[in-house]
Amino acid sequence: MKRRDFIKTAGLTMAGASLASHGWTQTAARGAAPGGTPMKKPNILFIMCDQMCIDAIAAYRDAFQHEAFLAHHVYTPNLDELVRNGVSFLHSYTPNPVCSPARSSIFTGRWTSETGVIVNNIGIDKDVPNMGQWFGEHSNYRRVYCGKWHAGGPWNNPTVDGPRKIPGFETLPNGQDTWGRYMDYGISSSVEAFLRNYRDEDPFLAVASFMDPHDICFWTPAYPGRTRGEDFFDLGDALPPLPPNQDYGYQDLHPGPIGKSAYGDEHWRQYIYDYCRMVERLDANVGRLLNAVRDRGDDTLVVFYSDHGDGVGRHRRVQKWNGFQSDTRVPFIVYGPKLGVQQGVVDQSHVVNGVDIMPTLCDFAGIPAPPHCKGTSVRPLAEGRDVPWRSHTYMEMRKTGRIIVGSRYKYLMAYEGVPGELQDSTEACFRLADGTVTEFRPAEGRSLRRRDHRLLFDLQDDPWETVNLAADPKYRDVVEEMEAILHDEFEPNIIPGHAFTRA
Amino acid sequence: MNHDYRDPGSLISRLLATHTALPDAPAADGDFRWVYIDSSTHHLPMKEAHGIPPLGEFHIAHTARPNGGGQLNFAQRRVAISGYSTFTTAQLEYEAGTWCVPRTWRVSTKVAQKLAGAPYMDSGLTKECSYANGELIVRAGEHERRTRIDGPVTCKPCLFAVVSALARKGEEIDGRFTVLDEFDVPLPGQRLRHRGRIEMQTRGGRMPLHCFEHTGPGTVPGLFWVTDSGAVITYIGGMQGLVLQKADEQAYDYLPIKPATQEAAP
Repeated sequence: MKRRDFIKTAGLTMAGASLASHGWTQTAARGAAPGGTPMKKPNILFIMCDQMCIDAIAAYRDAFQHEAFLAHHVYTPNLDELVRNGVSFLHSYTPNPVCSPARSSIFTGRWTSETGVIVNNIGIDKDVPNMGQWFGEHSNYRRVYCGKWHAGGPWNNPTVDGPRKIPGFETLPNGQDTWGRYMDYGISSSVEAFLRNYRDEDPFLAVASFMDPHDICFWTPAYPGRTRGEDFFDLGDALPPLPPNQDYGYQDLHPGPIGKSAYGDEHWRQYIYDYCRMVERLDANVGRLLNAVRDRGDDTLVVFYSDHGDGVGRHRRVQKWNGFQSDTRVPFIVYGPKLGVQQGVVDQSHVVNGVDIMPTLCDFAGIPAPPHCKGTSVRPLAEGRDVPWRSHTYMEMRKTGRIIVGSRYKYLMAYEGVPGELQDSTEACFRLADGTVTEFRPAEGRSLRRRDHRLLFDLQDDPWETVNLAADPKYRDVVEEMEAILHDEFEPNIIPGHAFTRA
Repeated sequence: MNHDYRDPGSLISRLLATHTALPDAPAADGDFRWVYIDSSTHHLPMKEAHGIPPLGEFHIAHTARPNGGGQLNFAQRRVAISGYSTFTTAQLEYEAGTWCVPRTWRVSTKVAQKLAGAPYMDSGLTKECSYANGELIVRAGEHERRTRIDGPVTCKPCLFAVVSALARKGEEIDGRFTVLDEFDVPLPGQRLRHRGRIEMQTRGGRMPLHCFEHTGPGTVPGLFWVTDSGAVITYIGGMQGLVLQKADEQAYDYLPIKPATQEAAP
């Protein structure tokens, strides 16, 4: 990718980014087609899940042909149906590979440095409108939220009222704790009931935010390592194979949450096996909602997305937090056969990001995207229209980490930070060149002290990310190009959250 | 979680030794009324240490029919938030046979403060279901969905009756079937296997327990532990722990199924 190509295709993405107002003024909906506002606003069902890798959908077997990809080990008839009757994006990334930050971006269209949620258990800056607030201000949509939120502070599930209610949404209460096994049927059954019973004139924006397959997070403490005896399950040939990148020859950018040698091969394979079963539980719950949408027989738009992925044993990683493809690449599906959304299109050309969710839903609803929105509506892509599109997207991770990814290369770097990169705190964590500690200052990105170690992967030739090319002289131009994209195109347009007021 | 029954530190070993209250055996005809606390396998150790309340309760009542079939009644509460819970109730008739194949059933769900309370925000829904000649029919309001299913079919709660009957008869099993997830979504390719009759330390003393393993799509592997008399004293699987409780009429008074009186464990 040449720098001039990026600038040419990124023009639409960056449009309007110079607006200085922090208020909730309207801007043009990015990517909205002229006259694209529908006559009647469609109902919208946004299905979120938690920690699902993009390849954990059986319908993607052709796209992920290696036998170690999850598509070969899951039974997902309902997600398959979404793929086969909608438009799905394979170059789809999270804004940040951990729950609260990702969710803050998905529901605002802003980068995590802007929402202020750079680590778990922090609330979205109250000057940044969330989806419910924005729709409430600009439309007559009834906004209902059911399931995990985790972008309001150190809690997961919203209450009906009080300080743990999500601003802008009514709460359909669910979940005492964060277990998909307990929450998700309650979410699917109550949202299904809402979809079947809702008859008001006003359109609805319903969010069904499932926990699964996040339950896999609790697998690790449940199996702290090899147990004293033999585990009881004998799953034999049903266990998926080990991924081919468990051993790799470069230094990580960040340490993993468990030691690389904590598990034996059979434990890794059981981890992947159980993860697949959790995806299938999710699929069953998605099926209930799709049946209700079909039975409504109207023009309800369905968007499916996961906040981030899971390590699933690749690079010997569990859970998330990391910049690898397993953690960052997530399903993004748009389904709306009565709204002009194409059917059966698996898009392998366009790079999309969770920040695109907010402007996409605004576009379909015929309302403007919020000011300073960093995402772009994917509606034109879903409708098969030829529009200029970005060549790369951006991610943040672990407070100080930054990722630039395009359809071929992925570049990961990190500023030098203070200890505690995973702690639930937004205290200043970056070091300037003189050693003083500061909060993130995008305009000063180049003067922040950076770690020497970086990662560069050729995703086309090395999809399992086994070779770090960052120090290879043959790729010096690519590294410089990625650095330029990061510091010239993305970071200068970030309005850091510490300028706002914490919720 | 660690299912290693030979490891005294494993969850199942500690759970059986400290939590299980041995119930009365099912009646000679197989009738039973059981109440389980429904708790995550992470909660169970915390409950043990700190008295943390469970995430819900699961009630099941079985009435045998003269033709070899039976009726099952279920009521499940999953604690939600803001004083609400998700309630699921079901009444089901099944035919004679190993798998308790359901014929007709009705399942209702809602978010409410009490089982008898009004559904919160349009959250109430009832489905009428039937299965005959290889066809599952699920009706929700005026809408009907038909699905072809090959081979035996059962519901996950029906597995309690399945393993109870197998243990009482002393029969082993290694069979395949389709399970209806929460009564309405078919998940084929399930497997139920008898993994042995194992001497375990329980709160009621050392006793043999039948262990049945359930695996398959959508099912994080789980184990039913069943007495010779057919009492399913615990199910552990997929972060879920169902532990049979001593009867407490007052504690469960809000639910429609009253548990049978059970003897306190020694």
